[in-house]
Order: sequence, then C-alpha cells, then structure tokens
Amino acid sequence: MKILIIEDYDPLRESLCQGLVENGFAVDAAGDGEEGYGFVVTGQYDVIVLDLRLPDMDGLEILRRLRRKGNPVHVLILTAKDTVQDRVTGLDLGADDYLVKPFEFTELLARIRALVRRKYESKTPLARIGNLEVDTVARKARRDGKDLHLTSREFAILELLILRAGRVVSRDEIRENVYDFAAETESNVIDVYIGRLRKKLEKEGGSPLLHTKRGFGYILGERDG
Amino acid sequence: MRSLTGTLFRGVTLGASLVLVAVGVVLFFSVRGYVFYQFDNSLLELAQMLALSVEEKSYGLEVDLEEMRIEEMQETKTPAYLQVGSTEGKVFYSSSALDDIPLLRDGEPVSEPVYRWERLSDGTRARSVRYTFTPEEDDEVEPEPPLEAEDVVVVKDAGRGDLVVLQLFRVSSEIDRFLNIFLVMLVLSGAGSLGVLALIMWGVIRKGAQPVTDLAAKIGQICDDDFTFRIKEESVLKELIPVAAGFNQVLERIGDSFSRERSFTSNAAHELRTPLAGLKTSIEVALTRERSEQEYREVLKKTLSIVNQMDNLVTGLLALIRFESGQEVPGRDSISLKGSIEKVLEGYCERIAEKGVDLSVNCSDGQTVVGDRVLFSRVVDELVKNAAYYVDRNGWIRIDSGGGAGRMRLSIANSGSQVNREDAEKVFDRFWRGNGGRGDAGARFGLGLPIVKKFVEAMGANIDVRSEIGGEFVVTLTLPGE
Repeated sequence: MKILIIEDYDPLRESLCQGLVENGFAVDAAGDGEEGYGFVVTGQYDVIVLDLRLPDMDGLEILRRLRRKGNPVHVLILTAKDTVQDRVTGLDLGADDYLVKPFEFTELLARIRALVRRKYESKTPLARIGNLEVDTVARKARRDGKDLHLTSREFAILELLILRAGRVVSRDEIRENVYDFAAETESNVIDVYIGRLRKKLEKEGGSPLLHTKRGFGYILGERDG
Repeated sequence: MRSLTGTLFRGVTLGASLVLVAVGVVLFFSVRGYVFYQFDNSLLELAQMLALSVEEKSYGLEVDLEEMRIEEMQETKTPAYLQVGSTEGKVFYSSSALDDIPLLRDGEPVSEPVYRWERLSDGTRARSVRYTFTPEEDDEVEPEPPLEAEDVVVVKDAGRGDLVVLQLFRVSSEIDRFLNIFLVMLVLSGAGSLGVLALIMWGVIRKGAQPVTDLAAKIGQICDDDFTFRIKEESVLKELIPVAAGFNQVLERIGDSFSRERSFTSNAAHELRTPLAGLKTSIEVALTRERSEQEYREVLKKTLSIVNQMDNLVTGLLALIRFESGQEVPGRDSISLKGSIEKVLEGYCERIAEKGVDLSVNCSDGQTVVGDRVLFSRVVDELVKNAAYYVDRNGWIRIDSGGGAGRMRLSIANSGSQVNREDAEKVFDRFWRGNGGRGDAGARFGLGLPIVKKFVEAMGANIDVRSEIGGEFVVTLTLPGE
C-alpha cells in the first residue's frame, strides 16, 4: 500500500515515514506544498497524509486542486488546526478523514488502513480467499487454520494481492506499492519474493493460490483465471 | 444604579419645584402686600373720616362719639376700635378693648400716619393706624352739652389749635383668613401643577431618552465574540452620531485586537502541537518494536532536539508576553557595537563559510550604544542568525554601523531575500513565516523578529526593514548612542 506524507515539520515527517514503512507501507514524503503536489500529480497513492499549514502551497490548496482534477485518492488531513470550522472546511473540500495533532500513532495507522480498505471496498480488516485468511491489522496470514510465517515484505505483497483479488497485479504496481521509491530494487527481486510467498502458501500441500500471468503480473485466486 | 431617565427626571422635577416655590412665594407676598396696602388705606380713610367728629367748640374740644359709631365700626366680623387723645399722650376716649394699649410710643413720628400690629385685650390680632390732625373749628356758639351726655366727650382744657391723635384699630381676622386660604390654594395648586408637570416631563424624558435606550439595546445584541457589528449612523439621532461613531471605532479596535489575539493563540497552539506530535510519534514509533541501542540513541537525540525547539518556542513566547506586559525593564549599559557583533559572528561563521557567503563588517572601534547588554546581544544574535539562514548560497552579508548626535545606526543585510517588498513589515508579525516554511529542521517558528522588535522598542530604539524578493533584505536599528 502506498502512502504519501506531506508534512513540513522534519522530525514528525521522518517518524511518520519510519512508522509507516515498518508497518508495511510504501511511503513517499514531501516537506512543502509544491513538492507534495508534484508527487500527487505524478504518483499513484492509496492514501495521502496531508498537513494544512505548508510552505509554498497550502494543504487545502493541494486538496482543492486534486479534487478539481477529479483525483479520487483518499486524503487524511493531519493538522494542528482543531476547530470545528477547520474540520468542516477540510472535509467539505474533499478530505476523507481528519486527525488533529498530537495524535496516537496507532490511531493514525488504523485510519490509514480503514481508508485503504475503503479504496478496495473491503469492510473488514480480515480478507479471505478459499482457506486463506489475511488479517491486515494483526498483519498475520493463515491457511487452513495454520499460521504462515511471512516477512514484512512478503506480507505486504500478499496484502496487495488479496485486496486486488481476482485482478492481475503487475510488477511495477508491486514495486510502487510495496517498496519505497528510494529502495534498491532489482527487477528479479519481486520474482524472488513472489516465489518465497508462493512456497509458504503451498507449504502444507494446499492448492495453488498465487498464479503468474506471464507478461502481465500475478493474480491471487483459487483458480488461475 | 443611576439611570439617565431617572437623573433627568429628578433634575427637571427639582428645578420645576424650585421655580414653582419661588413663584408661589413671590405671588403670596405680592398679594399679601397688596391686601395690607388696601387695608391700611381703608383704615386711614376711616380714621380721617372719624377725625371730622372731633371739633373745637367755644367751650373746648368735643369728640362726638355718636358720629363715630358709623356702620364700619359696627361691622361684627372685623370690628374697629379707636382711641382719641392729645399729642402728649392724654387719652380723651378709648374703646374698652384697648385698655392696655398706649396711644403714643416713644420714637414714633407724630406728623405722619403710623401703622402697627397689635394684640387686643381679648387676644385677637388687629391692625392700627395712628393719625394726627388739627380739629375743625366750629365758631357757632352752642350750649355746652350736659355732663352726663354719653355720646359726647368734652375736653375743656384743650388749647385752640392743639393737635389731636386718633388711633384706629381693626381686627384683621378676615384678611388673615383670606391669606391662609390663599396660601393653602397656592400650595395645593403648586403641588398639583408639579404633579402634572412631573407626569408630562416623565413622558417627554422617556421619549427623549428612547433613542439612547434603543442604542443600548442594539449594543446589547452584540454576541460575545462578534465584533463585526456596527451601529448605522443614519439610524440614530444627530446628537448620538458621535457616540455611535466612537462606539464603532472602539468595536473595530477591540475586534482587531481580539482577532490578533485569537490568531496568536491559534498559532501558538499550532506551533506547540506540531513539535509535540513529532515528539509523541517519534517515541511511539520507537516503541513499536525492539530496537538496537544505536537506534534508541538516535530516537533520544531526535526527541531532545524537538524538546529544545519547544523550549525555544516557549521561551520566545514568554519573552514576548513579559515585554508586552511591561514586566521586564531593560537596563542602560554602554555597549561596544563592534565587540558585540564580533562575538555573535563567532557562532555563525561556520555556517556562513559553508554557504560560500561573502561577509563584510564595517564597524569602527569606539562606536557605542546605550541599552540593555543582554537584550542587545539577543537582538544582534537573532539578526545575524536570520541573515546566515536566509542568505543565498554564494551570496553576501553586510554589517554596517554609523551615526552621531546621540543616535547610532546598525544595519544587517543579506542577499537572496525571500520576502516581497509588500510583505517586509510582516516579518514583525508573530508566527509569520514568509512562504509558510518552518525551515531549519522545524526550528524556526516566526517569533525571532517579533521578539527582536519588542526588545528594540523596550530599549527606546527603532527597527526598520526593507526587502526585495531575490535581492537584499536589510534590517536597520537606530539606537541611542553616547
């Protein structure tokens, strides 16, 4: 899942990046409005965490421009402005959520996850395909009632695939949504992780769930569609 | 509590009462004087008429009492009494009611009528006139009346041509009664008039004060934090326009001040919340998993840096508040300009050199200013720090001083200004950060120059700023010299 953080206070931005990356999100970050808007127009994000008081371009202006262009990306405003009027203005301009600083990091995570689920039209944090269960909050996967011991990146790939179950997910999408932009990514690294994931999914002799669509990408489903 | 209507009403009522009392007193005494004047005249006329009843006969002076018992004397409501005698005080005749009353009194003129108040023997009050006259001579020879005649008094030893004194008394009870009734009527009519007048005045004052009441009601409608309300001057009376205009001005000033304070509070809260969020998130994220000692060390370093920033912010805010409330009184030290600047520059030379900045300092030895040493040092430090932070890479910083005649000028300028000419004065607004940038890893809150301005003003100095975007940014201090 890919998150964009636009926040001008360096220490907060850095901590948010670290926290989100450690929770399996791919994160881009910008320290001012112009740079943030540049990310918005060029990248694909599941959620944007947006501060309001920003240098160069105000957070509300970014939101206004974004919605004017019909960009449906989910936006969570993260600001110190706490009046009802501030919240109303932000939400009326098209924000999907509003959180006031200072906040609980776990709450921010929960809200981001909720926005991600909303994007993929999933009501619960528990996703299922056949006998595979993926808990996006606990960050655990089970097949046939047995825990699958996945690494953070393996889980992130599985989460992406299960949220888009039945649809082909390209390598580029995986790279963009699972790995940080700045991360070193060899083209076959994704294949390696997919291979490991597939092995763990089918470890106990379960039916194949992760299928390769040659030339397109990967698809998660009970049958190769 | 005093009210305008009540005060006006009491004032006007008191005034009207005094006028009515004064008019009543004047009227009463005028009428009383006129009545007594008429009474005295009629008394004198009667005395003159009675004097005709005293004649000089061949056998002496004859007082005809029969003639004196005329109708006026018989009048029962205001009976009259008389005394007749000589100018020596010898009484020829006296009514019985006047037994204790002397005919003449010492010091009173004899030649002209004298009016007096007397208390008669029965206690009634009477008005008297004493009239002195020469009796008419009757040359006709008539027989002397018999001694037992009751209606005639003969005074044989009176010389011819002797003056005779006639003192006539008349009971004044009727006049007193009339005057008492008149006084009561006057008081009653005065009180009634005052009552009616008070009612009319109350109505007029209420009506007159209604615009003030309306104005007060309008003012009362203002909500606690709504300072956009204005009284329309065309909706009030001409006399109240200055009040409305003054009120509008006060409201505008309060509104501005309130808005500034609200903005300041909001900004202060924002500026405190953001580093607080950074602090909290850094710690929370650090605690989400086990980390190495080095990682924990990094987190502690980062949080300490945030705490230091918050400390700077709170210290800055407190400094502003102290100087705004006058709690701090700056000292008056003699400060060397060159020494202060060189000392401050030591802290920033590394940063300046790193940016490839050309630094020039044109301050002479012996240039001194008068001010608080600590404040001045903080002012120079903030200005140099500002220049070092905002100067463009490979740009320049210029520090010049000069002046005379008790005033010294110090200017600190840098190239690569990021502030428009129009926005130059805004650098002194609290929490104003140009294009909104926090910069310097979040350490700049937009409080530096506002604090500098407070310090400079507290030292009795002036501060000016001018700026051209992309060009030079110059802050000039004008300070008291020695």
